[in-house]
Amino acid sequence: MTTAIQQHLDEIREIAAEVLEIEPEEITETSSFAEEHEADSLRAIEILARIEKKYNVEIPQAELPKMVNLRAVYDVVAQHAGWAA
Amino acid sequence: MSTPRLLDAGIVVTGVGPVSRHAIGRAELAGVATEWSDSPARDEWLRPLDAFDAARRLGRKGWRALPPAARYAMVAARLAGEDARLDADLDGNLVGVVLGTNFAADETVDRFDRAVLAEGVRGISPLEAPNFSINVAASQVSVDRGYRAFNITLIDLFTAGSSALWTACQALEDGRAPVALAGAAEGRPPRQSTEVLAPTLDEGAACLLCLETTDHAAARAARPLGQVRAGAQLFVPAAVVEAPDRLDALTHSLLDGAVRALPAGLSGVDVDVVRPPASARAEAVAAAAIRWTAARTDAALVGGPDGGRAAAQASATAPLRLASQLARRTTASRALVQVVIGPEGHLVVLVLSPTA
Repeated sequence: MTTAIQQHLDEIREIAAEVLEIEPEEITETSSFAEEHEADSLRAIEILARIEKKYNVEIPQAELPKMVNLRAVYDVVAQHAGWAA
Repeated sequence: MSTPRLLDAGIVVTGVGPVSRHAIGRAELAGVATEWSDSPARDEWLRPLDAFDAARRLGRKGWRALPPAARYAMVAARLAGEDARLDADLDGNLVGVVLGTNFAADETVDRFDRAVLAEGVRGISPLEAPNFSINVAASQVSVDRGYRAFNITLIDLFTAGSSALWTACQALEDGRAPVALAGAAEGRPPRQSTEVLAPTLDEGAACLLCLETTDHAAARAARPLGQVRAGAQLFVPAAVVEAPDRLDALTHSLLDGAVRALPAGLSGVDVDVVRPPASARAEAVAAAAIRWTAARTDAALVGGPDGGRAAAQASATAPLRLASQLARRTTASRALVQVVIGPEGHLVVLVLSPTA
């Protein structure tokens, strides 16, 4: 994994952890926000909003259902931010 | 309405949940010497609530996005329930919530205003967006405890907490539920409120009382701290405040009517006249209540040397003072009348007797 990808993953992990009121270490790339970290729709929108603000990117709310875990969030953000794979 | 309502069914206070800079929980409250008076003027206008640790009281999750007033209210509700020894499995349909507040949303709304001006709508956190609503503290109490019988928020300046207590008593008397948590929760007040309340204010406070019908309390062998016998609330027009004779006629007949609900055999009546020190209008109404007290041979003013001039916890001030007196009461033979007067003319009276 490249340094840039890891850095972005860590940043998104921090955002998600703060919104979900848990420690960043509790979030793995594949742990389910809803089932394992008690995320509801409002918290999902909050994660989306914070990511949009941090990276100055617009992500359609239609993408929300895909953003079920850290890796999935990264993939959605990378697509809309134009981050190289 | 200037006629007091006398309660037939009997409503008892079975627990108190104070959250303030003076004390958190009944045990601390009982040991505090203060009468919830305001400190003399000091340099700072806002006193912090240092002793409140949300993580310790509420756990690690579920409160960080809530405004401070909601956190205080949730803790106060838990403390009141514990003090009353309410069953954790009590059917939520049997419990209502009535909360007074003046400043639960002020800090949030102020922050939203600044964020929108600086960044547009993107500056507002979706998670925090619901917090602009004044009823979020009461709602979170119901959500946290699962109490569904009713949920009411009142906002009259300074008197809202007492209005909430009286509204809850009436709801129980009318059969809407057998149990209610009622009182007040406050967040950070705006500085201009010092002009109508007190020179020094607290950044937050809450106090909820557990109220029950006597039947419900007896059935579960609760130990009541006092029984609410009567109450009243009315708006005293400015024209009446300016005419002492009319003011005395209005307030004295109200108080005379309210104490008629007291049982025979009590040795006297303690009267707590609670009003904000910064309000001349409230002081004028308070003077009428004090004259009523002075005219009775069996009545005595309580409230310490300030005589009840206190408003540092805004609408939570009077419920805190009431809880404090209930928590420390040692004589079982005197009634307690709390007269709460707001700077805009609201007057709330609660009449309590000791319980056997």
